[in-house]
Amino acid sequence: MPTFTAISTGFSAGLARAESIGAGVMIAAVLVITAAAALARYLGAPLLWADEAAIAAMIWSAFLGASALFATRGHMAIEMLSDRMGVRGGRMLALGADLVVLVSALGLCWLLWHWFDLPGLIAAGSPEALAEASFNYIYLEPTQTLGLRKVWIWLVLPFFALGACVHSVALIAGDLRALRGGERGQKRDEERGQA
Amino acid sequence: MTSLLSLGGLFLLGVPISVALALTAVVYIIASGDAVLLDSLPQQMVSALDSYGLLALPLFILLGEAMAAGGAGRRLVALASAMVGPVRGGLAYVSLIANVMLAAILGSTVAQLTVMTRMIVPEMEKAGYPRQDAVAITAAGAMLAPVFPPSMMFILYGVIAQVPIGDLFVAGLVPGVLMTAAFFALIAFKARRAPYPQAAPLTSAARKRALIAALPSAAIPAFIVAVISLGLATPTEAGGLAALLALVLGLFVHREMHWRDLGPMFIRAALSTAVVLFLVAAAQLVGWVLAYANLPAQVGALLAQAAQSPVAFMLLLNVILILIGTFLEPIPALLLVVPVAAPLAAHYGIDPVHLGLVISINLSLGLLTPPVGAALFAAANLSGLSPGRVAQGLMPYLTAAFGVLLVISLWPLLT
Repeated sequence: MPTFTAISTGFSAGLARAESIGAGVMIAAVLVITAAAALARYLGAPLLWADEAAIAAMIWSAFLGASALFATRGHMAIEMLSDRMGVRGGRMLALGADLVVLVSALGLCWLLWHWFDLPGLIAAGSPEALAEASFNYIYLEPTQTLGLRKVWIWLVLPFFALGACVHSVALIAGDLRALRGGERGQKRDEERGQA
Repeated sequence: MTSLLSLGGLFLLGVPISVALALTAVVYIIASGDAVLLDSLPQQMVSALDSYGLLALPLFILLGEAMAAGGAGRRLVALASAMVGPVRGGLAYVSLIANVMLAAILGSTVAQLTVMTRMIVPEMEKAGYPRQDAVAITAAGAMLAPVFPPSMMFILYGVIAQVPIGDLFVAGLVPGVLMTAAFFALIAFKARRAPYPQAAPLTSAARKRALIAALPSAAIPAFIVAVISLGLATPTEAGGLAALLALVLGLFVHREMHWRDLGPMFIRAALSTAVVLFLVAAAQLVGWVLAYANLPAQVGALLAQAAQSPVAFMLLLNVILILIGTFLEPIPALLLVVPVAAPLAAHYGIDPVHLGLVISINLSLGLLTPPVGAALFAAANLSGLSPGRVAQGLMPYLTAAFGVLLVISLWPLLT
């Protein structure tokens, strides 16, 4: 029967793969939109929506990629202390750092829950009624040129926060297992997860 | 104070710098008793990225990926070999020239160092160069990446300080040329003293072949600088068009890239971009609370007592930047320093483009200084030398680079 570490590592690896692909697609969109806008401007028919669309794609790419990077500890960090603390000390620090990431991600989930206020939206019945009742204009704020509401751009944040939670839980499970001395078991779990 | 302590503690724990920055802002907000500000925090993170100038960043990272996948590094080394000819220390000059050309494509010290160390250090060792010197010369060449356009540091500085990125790109040419000249002089001195081996002569047919093969790769940086300085395109548009051009070259002209390579290439570019952009988003939170706390004005009042003139301010700023750059990666350091330094520099009447060059170059040099230089460790890792040995070999080049930095700090006309 697969352990919690194996399940969480496997789920995190699969999610990171999906997030990376999403981030890559968005970067490709940034390239296509920017190049098309440059050519269109040169030909005297500027695409008014292009800048905002490219920025929206970049924002989605950045947060999807940032979530995926938690899975591989790919974010910049200062490892001066962990490099000097030996294997066990380094793992303890890694566990501490991963716990901090998890707490931060959970904190962001809480802030987003308040901001998106789904229960409030359901209770109010419409974005307009929600804005009137609570001055929360999240579902009404428009983009300038895209003809979309900004909430479609902001929607990447819940994906990011939940992804960061999943990845940090998987890393913490791996840290704990490694600290208990089950290094071989961890490698096996990771292999299973990747498979 | 609580925020500073928490930032230091989180850094030491090994928490991602971006998360540590965001948490520091949260700690400050809670400590200041304005918890209502927390509600705006997610929106602030997104609005940090809502910038047209920032679009240049993924596009230039993509350009670097496309050029590397299309074999640009190898072609530029061949072109540099054809240019240098049979002189003493020839391969050392080749390494430097190829680095200058690559700097005009990549814009990141660590990326450039990785490409060049793998490619040219084994060749130099085979030719009889001591490994320490080969690594030092190649790493010194990689210092040029953030100076020549397109530079990631210039793009970020331009966005934060609201300075035209094109102006920064063009202004970076003079310090870039000065640093290259200083490194050339050092190599010439060491080539006689060591002495370095003489490069083998190339036939004129081989030179012609190298020139033709490298021409498109060498033309892309020229295209970028030309369209930006002539005002034909914004840096973002230039990045997009150059990246597209690089893909077309790799797929259809050089044919070293396949359609199946595109997916992984876009993903690599997206993840490299995400590291930087997430840092920008997190640093925005710190900048936001700093502005709320009116910290730039407080630091300004302190500095005004210590530095009475623009020259004294620039010297003091350089010392502070060297200290920060020694412990912090250049990009997070830039994101933290600029919101405080830019208003102060304006108070002293310092040109923001000049300030951008000094800050970007100074912090980038920190990548190669111990104890926390990412590029220093990358060079040590790739070459199998200890970081101490690499740092020792690099010392003359770092001294020369700091000398150039001092010159451009004191004579703004050069930029």
